[in-house]
Amino acid sequence: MPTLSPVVILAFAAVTAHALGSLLGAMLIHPFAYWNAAAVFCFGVMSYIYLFGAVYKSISLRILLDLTRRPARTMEFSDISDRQIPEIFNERSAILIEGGLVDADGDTFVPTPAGQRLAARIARGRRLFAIGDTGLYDFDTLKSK
Amino acid sequence: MAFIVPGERDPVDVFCGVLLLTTAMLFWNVAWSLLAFGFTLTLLTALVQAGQPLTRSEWVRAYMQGSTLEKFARNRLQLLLGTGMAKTDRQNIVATPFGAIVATIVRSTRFLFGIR
Repeated sequence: MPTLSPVVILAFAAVTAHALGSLLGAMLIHPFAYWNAAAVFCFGVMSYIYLFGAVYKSISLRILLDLTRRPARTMEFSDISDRQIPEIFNERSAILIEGGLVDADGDTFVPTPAGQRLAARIARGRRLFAIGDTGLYDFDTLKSK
Repeated sequence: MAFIVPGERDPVDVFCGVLLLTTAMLFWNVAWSLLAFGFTLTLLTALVQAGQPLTRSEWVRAYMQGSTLEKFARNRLQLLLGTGMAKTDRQNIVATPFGAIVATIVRSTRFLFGIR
């Protein structure tokens, strides 16, 4: 059974909540300042998305959470690099497979046509913002400033 | 801008304008962060750029552009070390009291969002 992507569910929920909220506001408040209400609503939705993304998927925060569960809040670096990061790699590759973006064929992985289309869109977005394709934080640039 | 445009201005309008601007900044920050640091998206682009089927270890190497996951771990840890949420102690990584407070806030936020 095809599943809706979280982005579609969130967009649908936001539009529905906005429409219902605006209707309710128009019925209860006179005069109803729609654009002011829309500004507050959009800020709330964007803050939700921002916070949710940070606490749900951030790898650094995941390492921190794991660290604080350990005795004396201490972990060996090798435990992070040899166990935790490969674990995250496996989880994220599973997301790509479940999302129909990558096919697992035995021991090998290959992008599906949908995966190739998304990768092309990402590449265009990166070119637009002049972003590199490493996915790593660039601390050297920060230090040199 | 609200302060140089002539005419009457309502503090509520100014406040809502600030909210709209902040919303726009958050939106582009999310989009930019996903493109720049998105782990899952970069995994996908690395696989596509390879142009051939890859095994798991080859995929890791392609993602890291020839480097290892250890470099990736160090990179992500740098964020915790740089913000004072963690510190190094020989071969160990230790969460600081500040890091413990942040972790508690993150756990509470995850609970509020219904994230396990």
